[in-house]
Amino acid sequence: MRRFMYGMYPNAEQWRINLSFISLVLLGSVGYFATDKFKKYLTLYYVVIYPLIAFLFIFFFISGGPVFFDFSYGIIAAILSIIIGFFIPGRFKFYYFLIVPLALYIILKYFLFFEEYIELGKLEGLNWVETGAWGGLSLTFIISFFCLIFCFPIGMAFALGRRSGFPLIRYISVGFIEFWRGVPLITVLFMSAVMFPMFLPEDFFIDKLVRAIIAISLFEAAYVAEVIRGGLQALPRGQYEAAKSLGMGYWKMHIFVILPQALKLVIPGIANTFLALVKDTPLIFVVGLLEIVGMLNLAKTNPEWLGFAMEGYVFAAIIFWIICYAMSKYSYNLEQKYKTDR
Amino acid sequence: MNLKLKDIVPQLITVIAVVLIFGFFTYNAQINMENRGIDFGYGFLSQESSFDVQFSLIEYDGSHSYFRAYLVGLLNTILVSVIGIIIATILGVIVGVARLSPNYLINKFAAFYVEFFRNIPLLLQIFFWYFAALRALPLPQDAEAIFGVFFLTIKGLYVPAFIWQNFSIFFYSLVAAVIAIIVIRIHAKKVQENQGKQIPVFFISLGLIFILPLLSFLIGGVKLSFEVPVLKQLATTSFIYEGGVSLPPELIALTLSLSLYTATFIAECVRAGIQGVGKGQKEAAASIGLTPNQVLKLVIMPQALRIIIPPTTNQYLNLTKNSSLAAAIAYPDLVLVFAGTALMQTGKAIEIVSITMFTYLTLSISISILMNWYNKRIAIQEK
Repeated sequence: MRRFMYGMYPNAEQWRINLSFISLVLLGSVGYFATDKFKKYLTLYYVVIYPLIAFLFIFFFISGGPVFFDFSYGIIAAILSIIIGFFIPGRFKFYYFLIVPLALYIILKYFLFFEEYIELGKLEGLNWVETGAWGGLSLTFIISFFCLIFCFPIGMAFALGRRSGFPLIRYISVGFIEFWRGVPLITVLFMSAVMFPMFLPEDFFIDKLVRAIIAISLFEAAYVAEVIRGGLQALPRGQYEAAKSLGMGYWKMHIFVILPQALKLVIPGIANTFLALVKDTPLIFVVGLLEIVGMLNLAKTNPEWLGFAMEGYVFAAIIFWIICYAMSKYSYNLEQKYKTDR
Repeated sequence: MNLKLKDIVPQLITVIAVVLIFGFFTYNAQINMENRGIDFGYGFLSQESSFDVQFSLIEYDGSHSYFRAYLVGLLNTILVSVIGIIIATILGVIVGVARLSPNYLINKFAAFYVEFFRNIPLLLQIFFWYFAALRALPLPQDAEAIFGVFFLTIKGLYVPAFIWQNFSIFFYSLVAAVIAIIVIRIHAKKVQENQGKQIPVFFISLGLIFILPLLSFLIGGVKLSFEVPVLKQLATTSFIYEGGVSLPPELIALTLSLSLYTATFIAECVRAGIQGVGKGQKEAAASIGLTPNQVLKLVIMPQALRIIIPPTTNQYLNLTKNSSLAAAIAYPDLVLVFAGTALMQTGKAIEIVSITMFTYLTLSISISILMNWYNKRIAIQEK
């Protein structure tokens, strides 16, 4: 039973996973208790701060080692740049988002925190557990959670890119979307496992769990992009024209007028994509990570389990069914909540 | 001038960024390959592969080339996809119509089926059928014959093989029958438009498609015989069926789970399509005296198809892509044969993964072109 929940994670350390999940759930439910005064910061919180906390919890706390620092610098840089981005005048924003994150990343990596980050792993006083040992249902949750967070903004960016007025940007977005939609996830994971390391410098190492998460995120992002594009196309032209006539720029128009309406329209489609994502997580067996279905296959070879394969599969099926059914009901609720009569 | 610059610069920056990223990757790939002593090239395709594939549609063994192995994998993938698409479509349409049935039991049963199979990961379903359900099948020596000729055992499904003589004549007679049916259909439509007379096209077609091939048996010298699988004893406890065509359990498990899974999505598409046709259409059709069957066939379906086709195309694409999960249960499809075994042997990661991805891209694009063509054909012709 423990193996199903935690995989090969050492028994004595399992409280770390539990603690992480409990705190993540607590932090995630902040939105329900927030007062109106703080409501307007909620989006910022969920889009920026919450993923960061989750990232810290899961990758630092659960793995307890200085494995992902390079990656985390990238994330910190991106987040800082978004925060600063709120104070930058609109017409420079595009250039800004391309240059500043890179600059910040370089500064962070080479000038600041250089010493501290090596200390962090030790300061926690935790043993390092490599990601290969993660597994079971908790891994299912971790992967779904991160891919869900990452694929949404990427998908949104490509959906906007596909509708962009600049032909080159449009072609690149179309190429990206059609490429990922045309290949099966399993080959994408193959690519992340055998092909991707070839594309990186020798000394640069990305953990296989992170690679898998990146691969799944990019893959699902293409689907999310198509769904969001549907929403963007469904909006009447009048909305765009009205926003423009109010003197809004591209970003303002999309953030305050177009996207809120478009996203509302595509809640069912997004929910479907996310469901597909959760159901795709078992595929990570390709890169050698074993979540609950993979653990089952392993358990089946155990003599104690002989003849109980059927029960095991039914058990896993019920768990997935509960997760997916709950998600689809929740999306239906969201749909009803944000439904506006038009 | 200023306005032009504003248009060009963001595009330029994006393009440069993309080019830089790709350049970075290629540069690294080159260095890595040099360091590991791998050279880039597709020449290995003609080399002799020295592995065996347990199930293939074309003749294949270890002495054939890697390209041949690729073809074996590709054909196996296509085989699974085609069978899966056919079964899923039939099942999906039945369940989709059943969900709208006024009969409580049928309705709820269909709803339960859709909700249940849709919310379980496909991989889990494949594992379930392969490792749990099909393992409960009898051993070859205990197998019960179905209709005396089919044998369903733990080692797969054995069906009789057809042995043809003068197959080409039979084939041509079939083609001739199809052409004759098309001609008669066009003629019948003309007659109906001009004189209002209805020719029983269906029965004539049915007759043609049976009689012409039958004639080829009687006159053309076509002979058909069956080779029924026969139980053979290899050792005291080991039995095997010989002769006939054997379908490996991997294929059965895969098609079963793929079609059961995809059928739920197709059922939802069909339901949405039928519900999308206005209620007035149905009532109008009923009020001019059409029978319920005619209403569905002549009025509802042609209109519903326009709504059903595009999302169903997506499901076909998904099924084809999902067939790559075959690798999990060792069904020798493209991913397993080529991206698995061949990759392990040659170590040419970039070439093989790129070929595999390119193949799937081509498959997906060709299916969507085919379905778009069909969609265009049945779309409303605005005059």
